[in-house]
Amino acid sequence: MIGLNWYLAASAILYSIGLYCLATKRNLIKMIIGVEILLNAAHLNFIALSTTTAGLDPLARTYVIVSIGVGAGVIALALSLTLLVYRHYRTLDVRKMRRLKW
Amino acid sequence: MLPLAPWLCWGIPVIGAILTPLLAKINHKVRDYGAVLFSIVGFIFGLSMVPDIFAGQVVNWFTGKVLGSIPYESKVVWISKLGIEMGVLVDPLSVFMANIAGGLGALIMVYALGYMHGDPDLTRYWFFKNFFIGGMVLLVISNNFLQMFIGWEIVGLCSYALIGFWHKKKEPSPVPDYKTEGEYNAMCGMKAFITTRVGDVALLIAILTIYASTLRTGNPTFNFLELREQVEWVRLLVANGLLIPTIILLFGGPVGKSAQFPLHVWLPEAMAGPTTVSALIHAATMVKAGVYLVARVLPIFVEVFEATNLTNALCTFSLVVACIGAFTAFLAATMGMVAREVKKVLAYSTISQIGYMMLALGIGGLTGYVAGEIAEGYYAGTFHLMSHAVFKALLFLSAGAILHATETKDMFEMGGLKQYMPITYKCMFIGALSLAGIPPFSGFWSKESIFDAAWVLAEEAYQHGYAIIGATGYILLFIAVITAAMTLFYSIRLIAIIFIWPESEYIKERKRRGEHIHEAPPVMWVPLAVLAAVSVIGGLLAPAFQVFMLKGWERVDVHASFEILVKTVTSPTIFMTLGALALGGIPAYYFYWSRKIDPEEFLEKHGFFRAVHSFFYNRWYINDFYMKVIVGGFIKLSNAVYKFFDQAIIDRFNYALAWVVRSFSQAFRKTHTGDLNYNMIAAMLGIIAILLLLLFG
Amino acid sequence: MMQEILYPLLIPFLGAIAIPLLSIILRKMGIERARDYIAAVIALGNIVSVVNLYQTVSTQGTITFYLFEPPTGACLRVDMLSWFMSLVFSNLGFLVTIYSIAYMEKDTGLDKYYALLLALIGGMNLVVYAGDLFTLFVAWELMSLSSYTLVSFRKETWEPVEAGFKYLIMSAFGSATLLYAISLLYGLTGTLNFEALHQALLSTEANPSLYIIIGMLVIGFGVKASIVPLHTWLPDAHPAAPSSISAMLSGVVIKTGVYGILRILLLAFPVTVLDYGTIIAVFAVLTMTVGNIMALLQEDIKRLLAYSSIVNIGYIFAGLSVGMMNGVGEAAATIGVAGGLLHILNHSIMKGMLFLCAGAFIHELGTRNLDELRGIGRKMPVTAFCFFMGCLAIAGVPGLNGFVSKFMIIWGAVKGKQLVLAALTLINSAFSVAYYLRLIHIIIFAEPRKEMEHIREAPLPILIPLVILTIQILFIGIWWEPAVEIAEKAAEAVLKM
Repeated sequence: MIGLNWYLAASAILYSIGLYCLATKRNLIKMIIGVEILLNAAHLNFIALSTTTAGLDPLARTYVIVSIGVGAGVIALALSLTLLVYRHYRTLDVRKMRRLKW
Repeated sequence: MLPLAPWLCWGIPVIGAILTPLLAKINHKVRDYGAVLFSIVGFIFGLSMVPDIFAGQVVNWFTGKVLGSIPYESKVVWISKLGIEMGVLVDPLSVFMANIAGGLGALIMVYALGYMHGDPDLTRYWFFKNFFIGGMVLLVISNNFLQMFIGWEIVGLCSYALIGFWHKKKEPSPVPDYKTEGEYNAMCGMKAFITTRVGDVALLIAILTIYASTLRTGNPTFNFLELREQVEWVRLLVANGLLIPTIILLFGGPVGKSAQFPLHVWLPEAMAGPTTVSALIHAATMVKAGVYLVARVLPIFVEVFEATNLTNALCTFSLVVACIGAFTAFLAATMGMVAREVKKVLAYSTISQIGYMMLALGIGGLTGYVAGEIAEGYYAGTFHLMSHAVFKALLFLSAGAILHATETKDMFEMGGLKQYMPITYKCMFIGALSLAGIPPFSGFWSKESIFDAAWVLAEEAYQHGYAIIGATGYILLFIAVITAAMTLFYSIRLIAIIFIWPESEYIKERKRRGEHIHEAPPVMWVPLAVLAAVSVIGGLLAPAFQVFMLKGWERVDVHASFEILVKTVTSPTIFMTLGALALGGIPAYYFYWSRKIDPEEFLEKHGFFRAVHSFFYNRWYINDFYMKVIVGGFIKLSNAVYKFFDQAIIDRFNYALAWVVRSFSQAFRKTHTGDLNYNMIAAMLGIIAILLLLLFG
Repeated sequence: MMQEILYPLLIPFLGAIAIPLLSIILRKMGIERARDYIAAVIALGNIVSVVNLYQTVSTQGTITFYLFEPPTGACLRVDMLSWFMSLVFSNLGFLVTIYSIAYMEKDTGLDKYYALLLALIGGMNLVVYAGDLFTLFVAWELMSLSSYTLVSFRKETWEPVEAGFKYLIMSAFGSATLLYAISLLYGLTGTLNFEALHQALLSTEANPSLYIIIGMLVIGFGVKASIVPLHTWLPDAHPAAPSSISAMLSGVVIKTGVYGILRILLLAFPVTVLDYGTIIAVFAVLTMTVGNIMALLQEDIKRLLAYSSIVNIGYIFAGLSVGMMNGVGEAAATIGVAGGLLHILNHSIMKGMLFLCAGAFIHELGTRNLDELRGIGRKMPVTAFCFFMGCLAIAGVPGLNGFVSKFMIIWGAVKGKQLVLAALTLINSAFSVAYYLRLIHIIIFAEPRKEMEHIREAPLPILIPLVILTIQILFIGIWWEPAVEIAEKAAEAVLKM
């Protein structure tokens, strides 16, 4: 059986990967994937922590399902914005998208 | 009273002032009559409080509800922890002053309809005039020092703005230092403002010191009634050795505002404003604010000093007030005897008469010290305030009518006006007689009651074994009587030169040019007639006034009777007064009225009098001293500071600092690259920083 | 009477749903513009429902309302702090809705605009009314989604799109971090209900996992509140949005982050055990300093104002941090937190108004560049006067509202013996006067350019909110006692949980 700590470690690693992704990836789509990874790190954490010897806490599952739904909304909006970015900039490179600065 | 009268009596003129520019958009008639209407309505509200004082309780006329007894307060708490509030106080003194300011204000506004007719800047005029009336009534009806000080500053501002009202005049300046008359007028306004400001700062320091000590006793307040109730602040001030400096500084405000020595120099210059302004602000009301303040604090001081066994402080304060008052009365009268301009004579006499009021209040305080009763001097001072407000407004408005007709300020360019302006002549003559204290005009009764109070002080002081104060009382009485002689002298001189003397070259010249001199229009002489009538019967109002003024005073028992008049006339000082009138009147009659002796020749012959004349004419050289030493020295000092400190050090430092900040900011902006990846890296650094700080910080 | 607390949520949310449907009908009837006024009425209804709640909240202290069965179900919890915050939101929300009637008239898709605006107001109300962390999170995302969309509302140009995307990514990162922290908190205590969390952590020991949770919560909420170094989205997003939305974002939306940090930290982590106030203070000072430096040389009026929002967030956190420190004393903590809360209200008024004024200028002239706006105030006297008052207020001139709250913040810090914090806040406050005076100079005192001859005063629906806000500035500035009292009650509600 895999202990709780492994799950926690996995979610921490996921979180770090998400951050890394946001900090280094140039492509907008990849950044959105980074956000998704971050969210899923949190979801994994929820599920892992809701598991006790007595069984699963149903509340945490509800939370996660609702959160996935909310997350989907955010990601959808992000993707639609990506489309608009592409229309205006003709590229998805985030480093080209820096007319707003200083 | 009418509902909310103590608030509306100053609120309505202020609202009127604010509305004036809007009304001016409609047309100038609406603006002019609207402005006058606002001041009249404000006065009606003020007047409605008078019956309440006589009745001793405040009643709302509409609902018939009794709101409270005198003194009645109505207030809104603003900052409760600091004891800062907005409120009005209805007591005899405040209602009396509010009616003087509102009533004369309304009357002079009517007069100004004629006097200022056709001036291009009337919007500004009405604004400041109404704002002044509102500020003045606010000053006198406030229930606390702070709000009073706001009114105090409002009237100062309006005075400044109205003295320099004609700052655009292009005629040559009357004094050589300025290019145009407009510039000179602006300078006069500034001089008034700055000189009074010296006193205002002293007053503010005193108010804040008192407030700070109440703050330290745990009951912070500016409220007059509360200051009277609690005495701890006095003990605290004494413990810090601040009591005497504080009360002397408090008197600094009145000294500046009421043009007392040594800050009297601004009032003659203040005559540069329109005559209506001089009449209302620089004769009848604003300059009385100082007298009002002394009259306001004197009863407070009596109570709190008695409660804390510090009557010596009361003695010091009253002595200062009385001596400065007496000296100023004398000083200004000497200048008034030799002045050449009509309005300057009146200005000096205003200073002198306010000196009388201060003297009376000081005598009241001293009597309070020796015999425990200030009512006599207090009543005399306030009564003189009323009669002076009326007859001095009358004199100024008459002078305004003359100036309006002749277009000159110098009275030696007038002469013979009696035949052209008979109504003005009669009114002004009554005013002058009242000023000089000729029975039975109002000035006689009020001035006589001051002499009487001084006499009583001296007697009481000897009875209670205060020989020095007794002697001081006699000296003060002597100065006052001498001043009365001089007052009659310059009153006769004024009337004689303007009306009786043969027509001057200037008048003849005007007539040759076809500019005939006319009597003033009814809108101007009707206010004159009203004021003249009050001046004539003013003395008879004394019993009613005494009942009014001393209402609610626990220690004195007054009831309306003509006893007071009889007492005044039968006082031992009456002989002194008559002697003084003879002393001043006879030479004046010979010099100016009958012209048996030519004053010019007399001065030629007698070197001593020539020297005295020149000394008086140059205003005892006080003005020159201030200009050269204080103003000149200050300008030199500030130039030096500007050159060697501001320019050399501060400026360079500032420019360097600005340059450093700018460059740093410019460089720092480069860190905001606008690159989302970098933004995220910054955020990650933030996380790391916060975790490190939390775990190891 | 518990249902009362549902009205501030139901009115805007149902309004948000109803507006698009209504506008279909209205379009058929040919009176599409009526929709704008309906939205304003709904926003007004929201204010009324919030004000109506005051009586109940002030007498009962805390109202808890379970949406599902207790004790685990989602719940609403309203105390003085929540009420205070929702009042701030509704006040500005209503005025912005009126303002939009004229400001947005030339845009298309306004049914979505008003729906989103109402959803934003409702979302913020739900954030502060939430009684458990998960409800708060859902409300948070709801509010965020509305604000992302509103920032990039004018999607035909590049700027809102770029700004919106940056805002979204940063903010989504914040939300994810927040969710992560919530999950850890859940793992630690097994509950997300505020009261239960409080009980569970009341006697906790200091341990690293708690510190990590605190850190992640601060980051999660901090992105929204734009604490430096998480602020980089703000100067892009706030200017890019329509000015009405800029006012909402700068005025109130960033304050939800402040609310989150204040509420969750003080609720879950006893100050006596975990002394995190100093860290907040450090970030507060960093925030105001960086904001000031960046604001100084801005050429874009809205970007300048956006940086000034960052500065003011710094002041607010400076006040709140006093309440989070161990051993500053109850009085100092109350004054500090009350000062911070009052500054939330004041800043929403002042900054809301400045953005609305800037919007009025932009509406008339069509540019945000300060050089090109030179002297426009002379052509638009009413707007210019309001702008002037707003600048003076935010610069902290006594007699106007900004002074009161800044004074309380600094006084709280001094009283709590945090002299360094007080001094740095004061210095920053003095420094910030430089660019407010520059703004006043450019907008009002400079000579107008030739191109401005045709400029006229803004239309009435723009002026009404400006004048109301100016009156609020003066009212709180002159008679601050009621406002301070409410802020103090709110501070006590959160400090004495």
